[in-house]
Amino acid sequence: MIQYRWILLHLSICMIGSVTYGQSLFSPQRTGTGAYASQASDSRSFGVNPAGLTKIRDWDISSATYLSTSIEGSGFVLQGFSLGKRFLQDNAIAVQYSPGTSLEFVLPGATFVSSQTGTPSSIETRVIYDEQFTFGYARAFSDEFSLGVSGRLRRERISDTQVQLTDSLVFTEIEQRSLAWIADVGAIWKASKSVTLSAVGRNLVRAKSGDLAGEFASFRLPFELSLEMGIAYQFTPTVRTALDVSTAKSGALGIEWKPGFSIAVRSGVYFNEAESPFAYALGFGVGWSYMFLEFDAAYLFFPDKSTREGTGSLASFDAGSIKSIDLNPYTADRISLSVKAVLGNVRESLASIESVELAGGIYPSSSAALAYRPIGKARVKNISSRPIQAKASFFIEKYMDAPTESQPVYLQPGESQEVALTAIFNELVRGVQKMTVKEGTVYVSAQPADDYDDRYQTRILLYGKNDWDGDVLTLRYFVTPDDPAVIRYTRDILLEHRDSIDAASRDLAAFNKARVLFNAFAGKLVYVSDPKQSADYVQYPSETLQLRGGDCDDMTVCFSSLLNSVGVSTAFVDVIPPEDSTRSHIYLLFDTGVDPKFGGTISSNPKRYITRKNSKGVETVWIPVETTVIARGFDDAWTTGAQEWFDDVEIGLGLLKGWVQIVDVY
Amino acid sequence: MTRKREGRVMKRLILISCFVAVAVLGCKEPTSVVLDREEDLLEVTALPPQDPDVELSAIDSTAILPSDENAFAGLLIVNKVTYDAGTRVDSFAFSKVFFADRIRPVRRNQRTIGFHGFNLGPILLNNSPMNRIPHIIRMKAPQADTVAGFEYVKDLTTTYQSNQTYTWAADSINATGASIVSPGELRVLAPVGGASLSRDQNLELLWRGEGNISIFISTYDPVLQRTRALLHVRPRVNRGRAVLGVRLLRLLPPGRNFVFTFVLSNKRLEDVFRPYRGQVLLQASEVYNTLVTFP
Repeated sequence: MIQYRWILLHLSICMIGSVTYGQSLFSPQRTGTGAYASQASDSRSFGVNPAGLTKIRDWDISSATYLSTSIEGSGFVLQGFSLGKRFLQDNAIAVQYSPGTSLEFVLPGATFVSSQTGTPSSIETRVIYDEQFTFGYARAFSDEFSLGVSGRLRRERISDTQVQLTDSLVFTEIEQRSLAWIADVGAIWKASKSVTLSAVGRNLVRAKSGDLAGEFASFRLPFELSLEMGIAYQFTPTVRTALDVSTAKSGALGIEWKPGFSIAVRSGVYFNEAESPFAYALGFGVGWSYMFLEFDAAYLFFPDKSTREGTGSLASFDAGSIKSIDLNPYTADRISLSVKAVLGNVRESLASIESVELAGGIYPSSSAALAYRPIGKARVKNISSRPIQAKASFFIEKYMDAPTESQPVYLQPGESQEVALTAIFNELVRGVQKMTVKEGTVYVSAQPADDYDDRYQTRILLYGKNDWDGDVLTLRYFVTPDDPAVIRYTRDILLEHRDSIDAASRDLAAFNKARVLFNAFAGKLVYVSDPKQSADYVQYPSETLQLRGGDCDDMTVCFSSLLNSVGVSTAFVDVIPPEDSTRSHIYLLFDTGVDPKFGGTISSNPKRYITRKNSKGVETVWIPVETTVIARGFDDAWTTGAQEWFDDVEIGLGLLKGWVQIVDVY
Repeated sequence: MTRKREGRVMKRLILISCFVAVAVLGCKEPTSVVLDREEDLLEVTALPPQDPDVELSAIDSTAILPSDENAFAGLLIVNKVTYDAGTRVDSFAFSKVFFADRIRPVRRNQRTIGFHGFNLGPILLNNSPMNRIPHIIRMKAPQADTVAGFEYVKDLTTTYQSNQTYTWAADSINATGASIVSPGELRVLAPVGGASLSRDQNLELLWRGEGNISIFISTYDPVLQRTRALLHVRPRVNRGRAVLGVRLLRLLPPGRNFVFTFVLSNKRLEDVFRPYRGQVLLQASEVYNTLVTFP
């Protein structure tokens, strides 16, 4: 990879120093976005960057036409045809025949009148520039780096009538012409998943025959080395922006949005220091793919039309200002239309999505768990004639940085299988305030394909960050011992009671910390009974501390977080009485770390504590605490918790019968 | 298999249709950009070579095109003529009347070189009598000059005025009361007399004077003091400015001395029935001659 960077760097250093923003308007995609050097991808756009040819899959055929809307009486002009072919895996060639890449100036002359017949003859000079033939070759050196070269035949012609005066006027047609093969070199480097860089060196080599001479020398087009640099950034899977700049202090900034349905919408602004205004043109475009065809249209608009309506003044004409045959100070507003066909060994779809089932909504609080716990499943079918390895991906725009891929599955031809969908969400999901419905997309891709073979769009319920599904298993995701607010709170409390904690036995350190924290906690927070809310709304500990209160779930979660933050393990006890599920309840166990043999040091009454294994598999003494009686202090909360444990587990056999559940908080 | 083949045929048909549609749609040629240059505002006529034997009236004084000299039954002209040689500027004005007798051509070497001039009796110009003088057809060889009838002249150097009506009256013709208004004053600002010009650079012509402007370019022989008109350049619109492009200037034959004759004129045709039926040309002109050199 480093060598590619060096090549790009060398190209840059070698070519900086001169001008031109030579661009082809053959591709409406380019016309629409303006900045396309890093996105060139077919035989239409290799004039912009020949390295883009490597994106051709097999055969690529295009044709294009345009209408100069700001020139009165003009009609659609055939821009040209292009043909591209990929060969030997990483190589591609292309050719363009573009009669529309032509710029003709007519210089009307004096009218000469024959003295014998009185017949007038208008003598005019025609200056014609064109680049009708372009060839390109590109090679992909890796999946990330491609290099291409293109050659274009530039013709400069002058046809004029020379007049001689003997006994009468004698007219002689004369023509001067110049032919030049001009080579450009381009590179595209996919620097990361979302960033693509490009560099194009223009006019690197020229082989020329003939020249415009004498009085027509001023019509010679400039031939100057130049460098164009481009960058494209994929903001989201559907939105991409690009910027091209040239050493001529010109360039373009564009954006492409693919909202779905095989549609692309584009827009761009062209800028050039030599033009007035600086942002001298606007591009708009739209594209649509259907089967093997791609239709594109673009509109190029110039706010200042002083030289763009088919007329100009010879006095102000400067051939040096014509850096490109297509895009120059005389280019008129234009509508471009193009059709492209992708033929031959186009990659076939190997897999399809038969159905998608989502388990339910997504709770932001437990979103991290969805990286491992499936949010649903997709039934994927091998629709090819050979065994494939298929992967499904799931994506929600904005709340996921990229589609999350599933584990691959192996499918025989015709076989279908369910693939579990997982999802890695970004932090934005925790900012969802209210329950909302979002579009989720499921993709399936199969080896050796890079692109997805099929896509299934579905709707998914995205809950608010405080919403809870009522499952005690997911309640632990509200426990945030790492939250700075929690840590600060516990440190302040423990510092305040450092003397009493230090004075106690070290074996009871966890117990004492819990007691101190609870009592401090009890003095500052208020239990608010709100069973209606508690069923689906849980506060994060920082919110409970800030609001100085909460319901059963909030207090339990908050106290669990406080204990966890000082290294005390906790567990939720979820009680759902079988006779009345509406009396469901949660309270807390915490690990004292005391060996059950020394349980007496905690309490002489063994019914006040529980012996169970901690996360290391070692049996220790755990204390039940009912946080809803927080106002009465630790001892009462402990007593109440112990009583509830005794009633629910010892007498009611809830654990055995399954209506009491203990969930460790890690 | 059949379905696959049908699909392929369909694909080809769609493909061909799309490409043919684009090709047909784009059947126009790219539109040209027209670059204005002032040269295109000019109409240029190469004047025919003169009769090698006959010395026609010089355009630099009469402002009559050679083709017009014998084209009308009669000429009634009033001209103010200025010569600007750089070192000095001379002006004079005159009127001339000549009616050609078409049944009495003057022939030389089996060619008609002119006509006898009618004796029209007394002619008044603005109530002032004109002088009847012999009409001399001047030949290259002075000894061969031919007197053929009469013509009428009057010196207006001291009386000529711009924008003034000049009326000719004669009993012998029915053009009694034929009149024309002299044009506005003509002043040529460029090229100035005596200017040295280049054939390789566009030449800007500047003048003041509104009306129908013509520019004649003639060679000038300083020894014989004769001019020979080569080109008639007529701006389509009198904007007081014209540019002669290099292409035009290079048409001029080798030689140093040229006269640019600017003619601002009012012209009118009038029917006459005596001495015979025909049209006469009435012309009032301001003629400004600038002598220039092309090294």
